[in-house]
Amino acid sequence: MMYSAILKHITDFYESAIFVYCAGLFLFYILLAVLSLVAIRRSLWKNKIRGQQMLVASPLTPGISVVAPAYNEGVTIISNVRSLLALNYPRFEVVIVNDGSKDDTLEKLINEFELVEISFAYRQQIPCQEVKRFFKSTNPAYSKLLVLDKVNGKSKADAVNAGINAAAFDYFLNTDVDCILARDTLLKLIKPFMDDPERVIATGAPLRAANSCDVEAGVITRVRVPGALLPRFQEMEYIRSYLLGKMGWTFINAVPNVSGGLGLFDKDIVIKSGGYDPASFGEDMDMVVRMCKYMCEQDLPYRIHYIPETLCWTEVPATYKVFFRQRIRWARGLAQIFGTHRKVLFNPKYKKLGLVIFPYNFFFELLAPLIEFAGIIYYIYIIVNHLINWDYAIILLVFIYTFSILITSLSMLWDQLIFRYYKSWKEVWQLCILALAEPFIYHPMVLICAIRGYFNQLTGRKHTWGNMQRQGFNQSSNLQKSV
Amino acid sequence: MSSFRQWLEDLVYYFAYFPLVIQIAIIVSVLAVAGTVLAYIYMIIYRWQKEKQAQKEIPLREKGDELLLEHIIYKSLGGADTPVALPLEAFSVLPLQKPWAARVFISQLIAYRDNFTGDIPLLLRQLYLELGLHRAAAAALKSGRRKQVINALVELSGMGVLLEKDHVLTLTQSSDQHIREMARCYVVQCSPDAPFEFFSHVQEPLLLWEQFELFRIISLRKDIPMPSFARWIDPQFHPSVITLCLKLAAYFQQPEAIPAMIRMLHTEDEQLRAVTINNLGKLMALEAEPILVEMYPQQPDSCKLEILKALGRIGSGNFIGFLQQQLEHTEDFLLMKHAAHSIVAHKALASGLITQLQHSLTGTRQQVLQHSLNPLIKY
Repeated sequence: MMYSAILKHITDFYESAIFVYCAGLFLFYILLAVLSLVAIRRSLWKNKIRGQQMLVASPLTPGISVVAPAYNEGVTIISNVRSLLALNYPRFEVVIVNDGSKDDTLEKLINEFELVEISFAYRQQIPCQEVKRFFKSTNPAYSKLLVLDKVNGKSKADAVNAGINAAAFDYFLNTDVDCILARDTLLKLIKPFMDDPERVIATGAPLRAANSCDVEAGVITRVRVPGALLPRFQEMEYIRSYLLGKMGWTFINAVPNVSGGLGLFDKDIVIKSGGYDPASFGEDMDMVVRMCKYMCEQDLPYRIHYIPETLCWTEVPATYKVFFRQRIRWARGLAQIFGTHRKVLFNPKYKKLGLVIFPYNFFFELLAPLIEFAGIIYYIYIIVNHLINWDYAIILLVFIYTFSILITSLSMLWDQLIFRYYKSWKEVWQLCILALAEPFIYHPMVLICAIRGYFNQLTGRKHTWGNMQRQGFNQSSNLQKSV
Repeated sequence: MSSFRQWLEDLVYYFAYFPLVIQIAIIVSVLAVAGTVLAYIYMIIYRWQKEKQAQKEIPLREKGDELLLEHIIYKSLGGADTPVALPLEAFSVLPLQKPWAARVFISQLIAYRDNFTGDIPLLLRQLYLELGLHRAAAAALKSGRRKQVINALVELSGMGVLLEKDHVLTLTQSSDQHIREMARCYVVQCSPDAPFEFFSHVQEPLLLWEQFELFRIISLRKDIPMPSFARWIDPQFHPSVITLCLKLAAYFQQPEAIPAMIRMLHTEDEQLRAVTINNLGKLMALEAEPILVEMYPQQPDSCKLEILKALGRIGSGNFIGFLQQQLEHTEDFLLMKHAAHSIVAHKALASGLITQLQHSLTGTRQQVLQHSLNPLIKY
């Protein structure tokens, strides 16, 4: 009797705690939705009153080094490098880091861009594997291109560090060589650096799935919603995460992460923060955390911006195997960050990082899968033991389900209000309808990956990086013929 | 279906008896469903409206392009000396009395002005004024509403029309950053007599963006004689104004600014000192060389770097030995690299020294020199 009374108290407390947790999370989401709309509108208004073309002609425009690591990218490397070289910016260089590719990536670069080995004054300011050779083109048309050939460092972080060491300019763009960038990417990303009275240490912009988009000569000519289900779910998730999440955080200068696919950084701060950590599974977030820590420790005011326009299209995993591997790594990276930077949590010394970003990520990103998983186990337990009140259980499930659909719908609405990248109604509906299925199909997969990632991190299991297994883009027929 | 309806009816009936948690969950769920439905309805209406608006604007834009090409662009290209009469009646076919149509046409005029040089921007400006399109902007300028004022400043600036000069001058001191910034750019772009007067009254820093914009506008103004920017290279003015004027003095190659710049070398502000040194280099200020070399040992790295760069730009050869010494002895990689760059920038004056250094230097220093000598390495 006493046992069941104690159990009842525990379950009552657990249920109330979970409800408060959900309510807190939902409140945060609503707040982010409102803030993101304000931030997006403000950003677009600024764009309207301040043209960016003056940067193209100005002798004062700061230089940018575009750092793009390449590992076994032989199939697409030429068109991707051409796309990077075609960026619209007056002063930039493209630093391709061949990270010990085992295929013909380097040979293709040498032949296509008429590269010759040169003696290069290289200083290793942040750690990375040895850079064996440097190449420059003898063709003046490719004078912006610098190719590094280095020993494989088994991580993107290691390759980016090598690129940063060789970079000539004060700002660098971290991207993947397979990403397709909008032509004005650099113009748009550099603007916040010049437009803020405080020191801006990084800017980012949304990424979207390139899987079904039409691509011609390395340029997106028609944005399409991915045809396959898994990439389409990811597209929806990206829109929600960037437009509703990161833009909301931008408004209060509490951006937790600048994506590894596209981010413009202040090189000086990155170097002073020690560069990317090759041992990190979430090297992009880890880098941003260390940059923020450095600024707080030096008592320097700083800002990190996100701009709302999509500037980068990347091929998202189309197979479940690759998707699971990626998400397990991300979850592991998050857990690893909280282990590495545990002293930041609730530490007022780190200002917003310690009091807003870390607590939010701890409770609503790191713990969320665990709490959800525990909730599922609890549900099963009370069902098996006939303790469940089905009416209440259904009401609570509907509560969570309807709210998750609302949040996704709002992000789709923001996207439609402001950008309308998709030409047809059909494409918009394809994404909207997916919001209904997400809690049943996509979300459980993400949950499983998160639990698996935490487990791997706890047990110190060795991670296999694997290959992305790219499927290529929809090239125009003319281009395909010429290729 | 009927059991579901029954369930819903029970839910409503027993709502007051449910625990608070369940009541909140029900209310939030209802709000979420309503919010989702509203979001989709709004999405449909908004997208439809935008498509309709685009369809409405297309013929207007086409007609506007046609008229501008026929009556302004082609005619002014025809003969440089032939004055172009503005056929205002031809433009009466455009429904410019409607605000949306006026907005579209003004945006076309601004785009054309941005893309043409010579007489065409002046003709477009004249057309804008004669069609009375400036009236709405003039009214907005005095409306006191932030967004309207800024939009009016952007429009008038884009058209190169100066209105309400005194009022705009007060706006250059506005407490609103964006109004202040736009008003300054507007004054610099359009004022015929005193576009730079506000430099003397700047209290808040000019953001980097604003400096870029002002620099662009000033560098494009051909209708007024440039003042001597040395006037503002003085510690009594705001550091951001001094920075801008240093850059402008170098851009317009005003050697008379060199003494003022040399005086600025004593400033406490490290960043400002570095910019000053940089621009002395760009002005090839021969008289600054010994001062720069003398101050070098006491300077922080950012200023040392600029001194080395400046010596390379001036390239007199008088201090090539100093650069050699830095290349041979400094442990700082960046200083080493810039010393090498500056030696190479001396070209013929340094040819003998470069040959000698190629033989005498070893390791990193040798590599740095080779790097600087390689014409393939641009940056």
